[in-house]
Amino acid sequence: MGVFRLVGGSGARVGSAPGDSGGQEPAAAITSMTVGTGVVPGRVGALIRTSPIVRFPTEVCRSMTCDDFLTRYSDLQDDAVPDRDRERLRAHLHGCESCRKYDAVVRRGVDILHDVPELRVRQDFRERVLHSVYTMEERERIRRFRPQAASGGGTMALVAAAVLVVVAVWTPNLWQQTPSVELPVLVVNGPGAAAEDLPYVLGSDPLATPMGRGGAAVPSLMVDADLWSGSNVLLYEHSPLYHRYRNPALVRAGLH
Amino acid sequence: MAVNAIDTQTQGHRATPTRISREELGSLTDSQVVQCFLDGQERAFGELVDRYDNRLLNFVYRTVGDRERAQDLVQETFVRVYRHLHRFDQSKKFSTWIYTIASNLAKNELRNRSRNPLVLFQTIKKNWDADHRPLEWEDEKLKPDDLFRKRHVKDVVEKAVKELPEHHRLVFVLRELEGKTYEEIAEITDTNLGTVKSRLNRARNNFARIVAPMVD
Repeated sequence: MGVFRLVGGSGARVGSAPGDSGGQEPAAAITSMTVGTGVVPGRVGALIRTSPIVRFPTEVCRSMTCDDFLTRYSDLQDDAVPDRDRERLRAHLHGCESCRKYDAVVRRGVDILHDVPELRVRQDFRERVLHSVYTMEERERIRRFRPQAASGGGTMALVAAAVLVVVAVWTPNLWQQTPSVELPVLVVNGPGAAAEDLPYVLGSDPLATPMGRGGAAVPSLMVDADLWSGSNVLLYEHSPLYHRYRNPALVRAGLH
Repeated sequence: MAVNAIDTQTQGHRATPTRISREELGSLTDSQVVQCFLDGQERAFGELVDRYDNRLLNFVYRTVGDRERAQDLVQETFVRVYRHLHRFDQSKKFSTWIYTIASNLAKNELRNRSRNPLVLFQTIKKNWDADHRPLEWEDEKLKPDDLFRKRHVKDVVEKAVKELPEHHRLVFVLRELEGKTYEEIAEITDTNLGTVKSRLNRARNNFARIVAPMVD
């Protein structure tokens, strides 16, 4: 199928890699090169697109190295080179087997890439997007209704207002002394009527007998006599209650 | 033109746009659909989603290499489009703008992934799943050997794209698969034309080097 035809010489040296400038040096006897439209099947059916039959002068073929070609290959591929450069690039492509091979590999690779089935979004993708948009809009709406609460500036304003209120309330107290209130003197001649019947104990002795008002002994049912006897005394001495009543004081008992 | 059919009916002091059908929206250009949306046609946004969902999914998937994540990123792209469409400069192409958003999200994803080993593990797991999925027979006329080879070649070529450096991969996908022009790629990737050309050239060189043993 390939119709590449070299005219007037033994042709370019082949088998070198692109970039090896020696690989595309044509023999001295070549005066021109003719290439034709056709396909060169690769191992998996690669197609090399070629231009219609055109005659390139040898100088054109020789005026470009593989490095130059590779540098400008993308431009050629994307048709972004001036006409004259395009001719030179094409001439090199047709004259250099390694660059032709390179071109075929790129084209074939991209073709295969295009053959890979495209992904499709999930069936509910559209609904998901619209839901996201709806949620976002709701958030925006709430923010618009509560601009101060939502923004940091609003929070700061609230804090500042609270501080001002506190200062306004407390500032007069800083300059004014605490007002003193004089209460009328209360003269008490004896215990009140309610306290008369309550028993009491003199001193800190836990074993002391509780006395009623007027010095009468309180019935034993009110205070358990064995409560602080024996080992319980030791317990009592280490209790907070003991330390509290260590100093002589009037301790009321039997308040239950 | 269909967009002219979107008249406004004056009701008191407010002008409400006439609802436009999906068929009518389908016949409009991107710019016209964008204008419809800005005029208050909520349905126009759905039209934009329909037009770009699969295209963006494939673009982002080629860039990040993870289907589920790509889907999330495309969803995020549309949310951002919705939020910022009023800022879109309508003298420019909408497709370039939306690709720019998707591209930026994909780049962020790759940046985050390089910092987060968990994502790498997920990717490895996904690849493992892909390797162990049952072979699908696309064409019954072909022999199993040929099918296997075809499938293998496709895998190698896809893998070759994934192996390209990030900034090369981006321009390669935009040019070869999305068919964007150099100018559009420059705008999407926020680089100049020279950079786009050199990256594309290197990307093609790398791609050829990787796939050569299989397709040569």
